[in-house]
Amino acid sequence: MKIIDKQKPIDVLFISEGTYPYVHGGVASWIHEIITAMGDKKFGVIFLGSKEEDYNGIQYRFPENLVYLESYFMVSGREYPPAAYISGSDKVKKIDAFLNDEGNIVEELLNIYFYLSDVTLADILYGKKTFDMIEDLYIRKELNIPFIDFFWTLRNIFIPLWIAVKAILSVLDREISLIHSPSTGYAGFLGALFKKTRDIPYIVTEHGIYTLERKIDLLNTNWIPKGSNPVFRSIEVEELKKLWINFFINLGKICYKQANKVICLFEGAKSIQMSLGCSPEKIDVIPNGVKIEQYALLRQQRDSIPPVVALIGRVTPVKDVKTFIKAMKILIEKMPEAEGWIVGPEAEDPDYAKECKMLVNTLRLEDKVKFSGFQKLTDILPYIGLSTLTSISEGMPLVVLESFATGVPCVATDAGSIKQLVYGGLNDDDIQLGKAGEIVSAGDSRAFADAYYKFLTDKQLYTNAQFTAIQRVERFYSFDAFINNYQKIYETFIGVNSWQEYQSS
Amino acid sequence: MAGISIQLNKILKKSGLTNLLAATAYSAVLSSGNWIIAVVSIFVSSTLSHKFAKTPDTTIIYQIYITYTLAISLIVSGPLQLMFTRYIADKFFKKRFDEILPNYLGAVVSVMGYSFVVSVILSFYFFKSLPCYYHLIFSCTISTLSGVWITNALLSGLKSYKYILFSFAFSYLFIGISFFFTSKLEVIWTFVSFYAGQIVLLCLLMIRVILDYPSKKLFSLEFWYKRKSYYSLLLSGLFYNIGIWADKFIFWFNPVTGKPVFGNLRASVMYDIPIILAYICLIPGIAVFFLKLEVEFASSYDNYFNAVRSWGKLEDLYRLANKMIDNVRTTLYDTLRVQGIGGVLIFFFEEKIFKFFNLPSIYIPLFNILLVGAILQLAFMVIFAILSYFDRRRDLAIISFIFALGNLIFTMITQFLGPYYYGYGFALSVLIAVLIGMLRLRRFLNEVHYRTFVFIS
Repeated sequence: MKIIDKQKPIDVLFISEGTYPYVHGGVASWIHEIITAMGDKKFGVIFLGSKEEDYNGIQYRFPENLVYLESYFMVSGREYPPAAYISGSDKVKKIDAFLNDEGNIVEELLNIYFYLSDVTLADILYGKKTFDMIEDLYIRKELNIPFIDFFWTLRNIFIPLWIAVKAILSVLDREISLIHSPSTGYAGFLGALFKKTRDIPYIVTEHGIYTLERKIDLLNTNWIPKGSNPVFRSIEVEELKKLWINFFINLGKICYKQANKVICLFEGAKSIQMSLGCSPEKIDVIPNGVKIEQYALLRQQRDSIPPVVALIGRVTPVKDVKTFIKAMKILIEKMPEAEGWIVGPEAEDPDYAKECKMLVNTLRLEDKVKFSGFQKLTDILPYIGLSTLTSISEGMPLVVLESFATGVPCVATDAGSIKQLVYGGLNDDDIQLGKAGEIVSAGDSRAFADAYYKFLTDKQLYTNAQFTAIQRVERFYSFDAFINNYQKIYETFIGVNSWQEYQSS
Repeated sequence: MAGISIQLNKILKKSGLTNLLAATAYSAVLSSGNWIIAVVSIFVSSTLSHKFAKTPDTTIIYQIYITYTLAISLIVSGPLQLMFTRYIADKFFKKRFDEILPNYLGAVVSVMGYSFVVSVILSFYFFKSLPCYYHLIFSCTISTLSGVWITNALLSGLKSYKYILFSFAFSYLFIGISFFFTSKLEVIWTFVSFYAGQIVLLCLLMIRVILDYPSKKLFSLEFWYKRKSYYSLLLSGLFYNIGIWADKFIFWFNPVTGKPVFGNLRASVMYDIPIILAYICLIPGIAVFFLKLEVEFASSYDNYFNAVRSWGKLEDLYRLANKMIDNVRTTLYDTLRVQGIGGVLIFFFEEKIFKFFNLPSIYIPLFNILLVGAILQLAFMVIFAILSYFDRRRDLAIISFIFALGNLIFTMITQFLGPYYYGYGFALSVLIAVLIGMLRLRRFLNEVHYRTFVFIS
């Protein structure tokens, strides 16, 4: 579905998987800020989403320099050819490489014509040989799970790949200087195919580690269809999850291999990327940045420490909101005036949000722990004393930087880059600055409560952390520095017609 | 990280297969067995009251009139029967029992409405220059019969066989007795008595549906538009019934073989008696078919699809599919075997049977080929039912179209070829339809796993 096409050459084409322009915050805002900040460059976006109904429409006013936007909904069925009996293609057997532990992806699978003519979408959907391949794979893997679960898992894994490939076709003759994928996964794979097909330079920014996040998604959810026989369940979940994890690991490898540059947000991520198969010389670390000025103004509005701890983020299992709620219970016993705010959208996982609210009711915290939904940060930061993240996984959460810029210390888990942000870790200067809060182990609600209590009651400790927070964000995590870094990277690629030319220059 | 991935949870829900066909639209086929029951009872009751009738013609007019109302109502309601029972099967599978009654009433109103309109138009030809109360009673009767067929199809689909049997027995007893009295009056009163009997039948059947499937809503036409892919069943139902009646109408309306009985209602004595006898001979085969299909095949079918839907490992699926395919084979073969033995016995004793019923033995050669045709029609019913079970809507449309077209064309040709060929057109058309049906069924069963997983959604 083409939404914007100004028929102009594209300097940077983002491939957004489930983010911009359909959701708020996170990577979606990150893309929006880059586009808005670099008015001199022309951007394009290819959006890959699940189903149109899963999103609440477009969430942004498009900047002038966004010259191309096309959305693909990969599981909507809208892109499917009509059902028909076809024999399919023998070559379909090759795709099991995506699921193998070794993941030696043959070159052929990186050729766009493999997806367009060797094995078409119709072949994948309806081909007899595709079905034979699935049967064969089931037997070879000696699986012990209901066949239907295996069948649908394979379909769910592969159909989106074929839909994603179609996205290349619509911009095949378009002048594009650089492909930028803000994740690996399906989007990254599409970027890699672009690179192979059209020899356009390709960079990946990984906010978290996609592969690990999917692993957490998979291990945390109980979506895997259950067989009617409870005995099968445990085995089945493991085996199917392993297929998905292998698939994502292999997509990651493909991205790392094809990318001209792989960017991560913090030092810790670099080593994980290396362990997942990325060669170290490709990796750059570019932290996110925040616009300090708009938060700096808010600092004056605070005179005493407000007894409010805020968890700012989506209400989802990965944020482990329940630990926060339990910690608030413990804190309130010692400090009855304390309040906990949960600020963030609940739509992504309504069941989990419901569970959290039930927990609040059970612990009789209705007056103390409040769900405020999505809010503008500048509206609430002045009224909170501490920000917190209980997440089990994070990339580089902007909210930590934003609260630092406002002078709000942070108590959080050691997920992603958080430790680097709170204790300092970019370089020696950074470490010297000291602690801007405290790191607590994930799931330990008592430790969280203790840390909250310490900071909210010890004025000296609080002021020190506040000072460190402001210093750190101003020196190392400003938005301008962030944009400058990307400007530089983009400019090394834009203007050169192909990767070969770039290398020889 | 905010929504960086496509929401896995949402992709993973397997669509399809969970709302798999549990069910069967074949009941319409079985209900065509009911018209045999109807014809037999009319045949018997009118034979018994023959002596008391006002004129000897009354009985014949009565029989022919009923045959026409049955034929036309079956052809007219046939299309909706299949589509409607398929729709109800879905509702049943999804346990949306409260949606059954409103849609049933919607279907009854629809079918009775359009049947009435069609039969009013036809009545201007059949009862040309006769008083208009003939038109009216004819149209009302066909309309009511159509309502009966739809209800009957629904109840057979829901397996209320005993109740159906009771209702048919009760109302045909009523019809028989009232014919005994009305046969002494003007012929119109026999028509009225038949109409009254059908109203009794419709009420009896309807009460069952209303009692068993209560609902807050009373009327819905959702079945017409909810699943457009079921429209092919309209065609299958239409062709199937045209196929069954084509040869009869041709014999009635060919001036050489048929003659007018009442108004423009025509009959063909030479063809009607043998064909009625041939159908009556099918009773043992129908019984076996029913038993095999309902008991053996249906349970192995359920086992296979339950395994597909939830627990079956690949080896289980292969094992259960083989069992199911085995049962397809035995259903077809055992039905034909029993009917074949019955057929051979009839061939041996047919002269005595004809003598016993006081029928001229000149009908015997025609009866023989019609018996072969009827046995083939039984095979056709078996294949049709099994294809319905597998929801092979395309195949159903194809074989019923072949049957209808074949019967029309070949029966026409035999009219020109002469009396020795009478009946061969019917037999040949069913033979072709059966063979093609078997080939298509075989093709499906050879790839049953692939076709089940990939296409049923």
